[in-house]
Order: sequence, then structure tokens, then C-alpha cells
Amino acid sequence: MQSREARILVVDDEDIIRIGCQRILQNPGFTIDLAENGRVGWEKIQQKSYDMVLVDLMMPEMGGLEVLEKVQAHDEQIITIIITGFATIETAVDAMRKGAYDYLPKPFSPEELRTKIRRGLEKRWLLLEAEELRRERDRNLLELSNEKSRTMTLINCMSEGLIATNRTGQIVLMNPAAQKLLNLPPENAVGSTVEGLLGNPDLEKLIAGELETAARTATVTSKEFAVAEERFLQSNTAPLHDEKGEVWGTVTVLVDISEDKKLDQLKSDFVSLVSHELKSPVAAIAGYLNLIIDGLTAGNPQKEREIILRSRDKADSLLMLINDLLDMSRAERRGAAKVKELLSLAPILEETIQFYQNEAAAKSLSVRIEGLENLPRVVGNRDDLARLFANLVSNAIKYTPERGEVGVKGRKRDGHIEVAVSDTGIGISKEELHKVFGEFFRARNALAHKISGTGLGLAICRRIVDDHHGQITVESEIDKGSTFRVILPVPSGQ
Amino acid sequence: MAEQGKILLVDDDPDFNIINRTILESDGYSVEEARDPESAWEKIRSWKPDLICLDVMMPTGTEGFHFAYKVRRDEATRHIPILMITAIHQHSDFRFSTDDGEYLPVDDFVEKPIKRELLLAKVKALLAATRPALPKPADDKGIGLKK
Repeated sequence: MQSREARILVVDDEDIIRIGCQRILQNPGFTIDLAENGRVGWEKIQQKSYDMVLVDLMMPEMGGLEVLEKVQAHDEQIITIIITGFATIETAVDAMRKGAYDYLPKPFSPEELRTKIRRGLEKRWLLLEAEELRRERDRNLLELSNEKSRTMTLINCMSEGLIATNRTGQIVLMNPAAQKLLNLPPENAVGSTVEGLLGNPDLEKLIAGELETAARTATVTSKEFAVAEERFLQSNTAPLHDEKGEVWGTVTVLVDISEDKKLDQLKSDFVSLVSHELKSPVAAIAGYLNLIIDGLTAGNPQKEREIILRSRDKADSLLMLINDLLDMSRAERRGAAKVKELLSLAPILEETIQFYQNEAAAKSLSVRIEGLENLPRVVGNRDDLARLFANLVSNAIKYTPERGEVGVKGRKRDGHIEVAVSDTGIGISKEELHKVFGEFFRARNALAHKISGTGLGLAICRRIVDDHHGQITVESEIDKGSTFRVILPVPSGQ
Repeated sequence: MAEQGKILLVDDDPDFNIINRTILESDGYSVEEARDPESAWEKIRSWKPDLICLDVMMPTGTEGFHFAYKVRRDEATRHIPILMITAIHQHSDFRFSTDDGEYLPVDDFVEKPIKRELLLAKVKALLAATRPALPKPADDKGIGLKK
């Protein structure tokens, strides 16, 4: 502390005093500035921060008391020592009252000056130290309140609802997400009890129960409940313990699980749909077998053969359905199991068309291929894309009457390629067109024409296209034909 | 063989019409088929069956129910017993009670796959019964599956 340099200003109109002070105070620890009158002194004080000002009382232009007043107003921690040739009690008292630290009557010895200066500086250093400590404390307090508000900001920004209660069930903290999830008015709920406030007896009971039982266990209780039509919350409530293990309150985290529930519902709807589709053919086969076992076809070989053939068809369609279901779950599988590579569609499309050549020929269909050469490559899974186009091409052949036309046309568009598979088949009605990519959908006219199918082919196509970040669309007119367009993104740099 | 009774099969699935027809004809019933509600209604008016075997799902899942209500509401047909044919375990979701005013107005049900003895026993019982007619249902809004 003593090592810091003291900046001292001497303000006196007498040259001897100024120069004398400078000489006496010549010391590595002091910086001495001089001013020949009050006005000049005051200017210097404003420009530079001094630890101490020695000021003569009687000066032209600006007297010592005026300088003292200005210094006090400017920075009351500057130590001011009044030098006076009229050492009266009155002036001394007056100066001290105005905030001077001490006074020094003229003439003074070097020793007297050094003593006053030393004491004054000690006082100055103490003042500065106190000031520093106060600043530090303020800074700590600020940090503390910043830390608190940072934590509150985090809690308030959570998408999960957070509710904390004390041991009497009073709410001590509730974040905006909790209010929103529970659909509570924005008034401050803090301080109210849980009962009746949450508008949710289940949750209120849960928190109350947690307080009671938490004393013994330290377990988290999870619960799901409905807060509105199709809105579901999951609550996880845990007891809060102090160091002695006493229950101090509870903390509950609320999560909106409506989307998960919706997915669950979709999944279970799908499972029941699949079960129905699987059950029908099995029930028919079992029914047919029972007819034979019960001897109802005995003596009628023609009927028996019809029943056996029908059973075989049912078994075939069941097999087809199971294959499609496997393909569908495969199309949905993502991640490491599915390799995507940069590949050219032309060979896949050509192979597909080659594969269905015989079926097309059997119905005397002409197959037109256009624009497959020079198509840019896409990023995709080879098996999935082969399955996609196999479904579209086989559908085109299946739903087109004899001597019709099936077309496979590729073209390049802005950053995409488009493959259109068209036919001159039975078409799909406007009313049913939006359903074609749904699971187990069969068009009425397809059923009327007795064209068999699982109703999963296009659903699989849609899933594959989705997985490749593409798009599949359909245009169709009854008895004129359908066109399915697959649009796939082309990676840049081609 | 003397005619035991006239039974109308209403199912959009031809397999079950074949199976049920074979079973019922083997026991001396005369059988007609219909694959949709319109032609079934036509057959009921013209052929006047003694019993209707009605599939639930025909084809959208509720058409069978609505058809049962239609039969029950018409004075000329409401006496005809209806044997509802359901897929396995479906019936657990149905209301058969007449207590709460909302019920499925059918007389009995039988599960797919059809067991010959069971079908014949139920058909015989329904045709022999001198049962009180089921109350006339008010409307068929919200019928069918319990939610």
C-alpha cells in the first residue's frame, strides 16, 4: 500500500512555499505538482486525480476555502490540507467543517510538513482501501444476483414445465412453460397452495402424495394425464430433501407428450388395420379347410377343387401382404442399416422394365422409355429405389387393359430429376386420388375389375420417396390412365 | 330335401359367402347372396328371407351396422332375425345390451372363421325362437364400436 505513488498538488501564491514544499517532499514515492493560485490549482485538480491537495487560504483570484469547497464537491476522498498564515481557531474550524483534513500554520518546519503529509496519506490510503472493498462487495452482490437471474432465465426458457412446492404444498416456483402447459392464467401462482390451483386434481393429488410419502423414499413418480382434447402431459415428481433427509418440498417437471401419443395412436391404428388385413385371408382358408374336413365337398370334386384353389390364392395374397409389410418397415428403417450411395437411375429403371417385360408382352402392352440416358446421379439406397420403380411399373402394367401403353420418362429439372411412370389404364377417380398413398387403400374400380393387390404398394413408394427427401405425385383420369411422378433431389456439383 | 328356411348371406367377401352357403345348403336351407347393402335390401324385399347373416365390415366397417338398423326400422322387415358375422374378438367391442337405449339391433353373432356346428345351431335356434321382437331403434348415429 505504501508503495503506491502519492500525487500531491501544492497551491500557493508564494513562490517560497511552493518551491519549499517541492524540495522538502522530494522523494521517489511522491509526485509533486505546483499551482500559483486557486484558479490554476482547480484546473489541475479537474485534469488529474490527486491524492492530496495543499492549499493556501489567502490567494488572489480564488481563495483556499473556495478551492476546498470545489475539491470536496469534486471528490471528497481527496485529502485537503489548508496552509494558513493567519492561524486562528475560527479559520481552522471553518476549514475543517468544510471538509479539510488538517491545517498547517505558516511558517512550518519540514518535519511538520512531512508529518501532516504522512498522516494525510495514511488516511487517503485507508479511504481508498475501504472504497475498493466496498466496490468488491458490490461486484460480488451483482454477480450473485446475476447468477440467480441466470438460473431463473434458464428455468423460464425451458420447454418443460417446472413446479416446486414447499413441504406444506405451497408453490414456491412455477415457470411460464408450466403455466402454459396447465393452461393457467398468467397471474403469479407462487405462494398459493397446490390444491385447486393447478386445475388438475390428478397432479395436485400426486404432489400432495409425494410430500407425504417422500419422507421415506427418494423415488420419482411418473404419471400421464389428459389436460384437454388430444393434449397429454407427463409429470415427473420427485421429493426434495435437505442434508438431514427431511422432506423440504417437491419438484415436478411437466412434459407435453401429445405428439408421442398421436404417434402411438397412429401405430396402434396401423397394427389393428394390419391385423384385420391378415385375419381375413386366414379366416377364409380356415373356413375352406373346415368345409373339406366336415365332408361338405365329398362327392363333389369340382367344388372341392374350387375351394382348394381359392385357399391357395388366399395363401398367396397373404404371402404378398407379409412381403409388403416387411418392405414397408424396411423403407422406414434409417441409419447404419441403410447405405445410401451416389448412383445412376438408368440401369435400375432398365432392369425393372426388363423384369416386367413378359407381363407386359402377355397383355400386348407397348412400353415406351425416354430420357433415361444423361440423367444426373442421385443419392439413394439401391434396393429401395429399385423397389420404388418396380412398384410403379408393375402397377402400370397391372392396371392397364390389353394393347395399352406404359411409359417411363426421365428428365432433368432445376436441381432435381423427375421420373414419370404413366399408363393408359383404368385410372383413379378424383374423389379417391388423395388416398392412393395411404395404407391398404384399394380404388373402387380396381376392386370392381377384380385386380388383386395388398393396398400397400404405393404406401411403400411414398415412404421410400420420403426417406430420399423427394416427392411423389399422381395425376389420373378414370378410363384414361394414370401418371406417377417421382422427384428426387440431385446433389450439387453435377 | 324339404326346405328348412330361406337364409340371405350379406358379405362383400365372396369367400365367406361360398363357405356359409356350402354349410347352410348341406343342412337343407335355401341360400341367396348379396355383396352390398343395396342388393341385399332388394333381395330382402323380393325374396323375403327367414334369416339374415350379416357381415360387420361390409366394406367400410360400419355399413353392416347401418344395414341392421335399416332392417329393424322398416315395419315390413323388422321381424327378420339377424345373425351378425364378425371377425375374431370383434364382438367384445359391441353393445348388445338393450338397457341403455343404444345397442346393436341384432339377435346373435358368430365369429369368423365359421364353425359348421355353431353356425347351424345358431341358425336353427333363431329360426325356431318365438322371441319378442327387439325394440325399434331410434337412430343409428354413433352406433357400433364403443369408444
